[in-house]
Amino acid sequence: MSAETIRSGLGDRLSDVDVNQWPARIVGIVLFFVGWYAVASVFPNELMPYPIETLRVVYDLVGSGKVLPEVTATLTRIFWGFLASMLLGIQMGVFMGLDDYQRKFLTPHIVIGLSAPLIAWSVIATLIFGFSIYAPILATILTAAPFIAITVWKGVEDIDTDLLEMSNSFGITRRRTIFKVVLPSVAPELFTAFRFGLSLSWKIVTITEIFASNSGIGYQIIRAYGFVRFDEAWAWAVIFMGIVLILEYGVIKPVQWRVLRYRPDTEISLVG
Amino acid sequence: MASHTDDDADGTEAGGTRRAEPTAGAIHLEELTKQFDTDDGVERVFEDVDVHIEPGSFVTLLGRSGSGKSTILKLVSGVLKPTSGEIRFEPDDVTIGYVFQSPRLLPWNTCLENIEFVHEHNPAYSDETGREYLDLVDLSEHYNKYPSQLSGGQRQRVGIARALSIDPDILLMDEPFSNLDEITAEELRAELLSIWQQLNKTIFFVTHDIDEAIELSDRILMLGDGQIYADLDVPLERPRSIDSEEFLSFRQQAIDTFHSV
Amino acid sequence: MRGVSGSSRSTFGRIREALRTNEVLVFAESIVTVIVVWMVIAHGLNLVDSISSPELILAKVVELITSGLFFTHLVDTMRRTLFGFAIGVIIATPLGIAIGLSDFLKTAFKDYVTVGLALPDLLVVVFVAMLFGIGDLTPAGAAVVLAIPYMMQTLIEGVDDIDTDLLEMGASFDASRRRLLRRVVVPSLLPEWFGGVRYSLAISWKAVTLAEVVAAETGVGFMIRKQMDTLSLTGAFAWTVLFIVILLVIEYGVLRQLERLAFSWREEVSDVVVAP
Repeated sequence: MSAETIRSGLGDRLSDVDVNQWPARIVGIVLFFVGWYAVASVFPNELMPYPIETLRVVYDLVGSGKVLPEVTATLTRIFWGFLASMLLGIQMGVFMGLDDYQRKFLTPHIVIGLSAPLIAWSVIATLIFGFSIYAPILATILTAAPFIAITVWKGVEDIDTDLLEMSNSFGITRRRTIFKVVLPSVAPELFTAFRFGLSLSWKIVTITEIFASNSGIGYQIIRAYGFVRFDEAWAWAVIFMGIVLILEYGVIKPVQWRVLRYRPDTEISLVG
Repeated sequence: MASHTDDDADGTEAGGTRRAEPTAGAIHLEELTKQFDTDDGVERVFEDVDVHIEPGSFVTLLGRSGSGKSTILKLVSGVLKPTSGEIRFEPDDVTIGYVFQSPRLLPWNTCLENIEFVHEHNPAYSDETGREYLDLVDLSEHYNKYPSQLSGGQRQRVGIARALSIDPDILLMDEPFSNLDEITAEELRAELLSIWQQLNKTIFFVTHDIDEAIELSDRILMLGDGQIYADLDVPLERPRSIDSEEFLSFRQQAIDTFHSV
Repeated sequence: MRGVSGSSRSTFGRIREALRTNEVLVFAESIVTVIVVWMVIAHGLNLVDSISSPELILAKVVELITSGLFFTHLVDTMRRTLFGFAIGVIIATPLGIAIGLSDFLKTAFKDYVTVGLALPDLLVVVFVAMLFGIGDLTPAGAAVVLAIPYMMQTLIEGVDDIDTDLLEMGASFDASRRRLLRRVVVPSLLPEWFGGVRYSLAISWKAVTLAEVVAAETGVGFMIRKQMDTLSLTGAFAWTVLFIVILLVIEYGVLRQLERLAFSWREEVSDVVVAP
């Protein structure tokens, strides 16, 4: 058994920039629609509409102007919640990385934040702030900030103090050191925090919208479900997934590629 | 010590207490060529290499990093296939043991289990055998330790014990001591020599360290520029002292030859 | 104790030191601080109705335990979680490994995993609810759908992490494919698989509790939602606290211990994280 067979038998590292990717990916995507179609033909229509019908409902919704305000509402909440979480989370993470006492002090809160069910934070935030934009923001902070904190903490911990010493011994200014040594060092962790913090944000905001508002995509989906208008629910879901995918592929992936270019095999994997 | 030509491979050598008949194999590389297909075209590692290694001898392949010496070893072990040319052994069905530069132990197995791992096709294997070989490399206290509990030198010893435990006719060693600190490396070299003299195996050894080559081997092959450009017999008597006059003068010769390419 | 500033360390100094460095003590300090600050703000600024207060929550917690109400609903939630999570792991494990081993499959399904990881929980819950209606199946089903992408991602990465050097070593000693699978691939994957299992369990809890809000009539999630109807912030906190305690007991008391025992050959300690 040659090494070459071993390697090909067990696959190579996933490379992002690979021309041969597309045939396989297209197969995957086509398979998805085929699968949807197949399942739709099995299930009754009200439960599971065909792809084409869903798209038609989407088209109608967009045309009637109902989509934009809802999407804006949700995105606004996500934006502010995520921003607050990043600020708070990065702050906590840095503290934890730099000072041992802070780390031990903040750890229980992080653990609690991470283990509580999402709806717990949604309900609590809503009961505190009522029907307002502050509810989803608080819920987002309670959910995303702990994760961001722990990720950033890891990054700060891993900063190579040798490099800092080196920088110091050459008399490099603090500002330059931060930009050229510290930031690139924590970039992958910052990116992970950004990426999963964002995805947590859209998850928790949609949930909180059930309780704390009468607008937003989460609200619309639950409403459609409540009225047993499943085709509408599907349509809203498609719209939302469309936005999520735009964020994933339009924002997150390009940033990911840029941030990790020089590292051969950093895995953006889940922490822990 | 000049290489000896014992083609009979009978069991009359001293120190061979382990088995009835210590055997050592011979290696023949004929017109060996290896090239790789890379994104930038065809990379020719070496071409038309001819090497004949006699049974029981200790032969070192010396070359700079990247010269293709590890590749030759991988071809001999069968892990890679040559582009053209032939590799023959005497006898035909030699057993080959391989020692890597990094120990390559299974981290989830103990030392004993790591030795057992390579005895899949060996019904005669028992824990006792494994222990014997661990004793041979001075690890009697560590039968049930995990690699994470051992030092670098100790792990490498396990690697050597593992390779020896299959009772190979030929031992291939790919820079086994270059990852270790000099003191540990020196110890292991001495151990290796003593084991070699006891067990009478053919050793094909790869290194970039010329002193190591001179200290250990009967014969030094120098690899560079895609070919073997020198083949030196090492006329020094064992045990060899690294600061003796003869060592130093031979060393100078060898260095000059090495840089002649 | 460190005697950096001389050998005569006063007791007071030692206590102070411990308060700063001892993990358990600092942990306690942290919790106590929050409780105290909370009580002060709640009672001092008369905000008890808005933000509740620790002693009220404690009272409620006790009530929930002694009345047995908590455990009644916990059992339902746990049942759904375990069911969904187990099915998710059973499906995702062979799938994840198979995909990880094949370049083609990996590329073909890369987007599925990306999308799967990004799926908002709510969407999944609503759609499973549309399929299965009210009852046990919806929460369990939601857990299955949400846990599978994570489990698969973990395994795909796990396969990537297999040390090819070790495989090469095995090959050079003529190890059979079966041998390599059993002695190299599986032990290499096992710790990562276990981590994935832990992670999936955490995801499943969250999925189930959310689903209970939408499509169940019992369960911890359902009860938390019910606190909304009575505008009982204290109740919401109480249920949350109890649930978190159970989670942590399982995570740290059971799972981490299992992990330590099973993988004693490892040097590193895994991180302090429960799933996001």
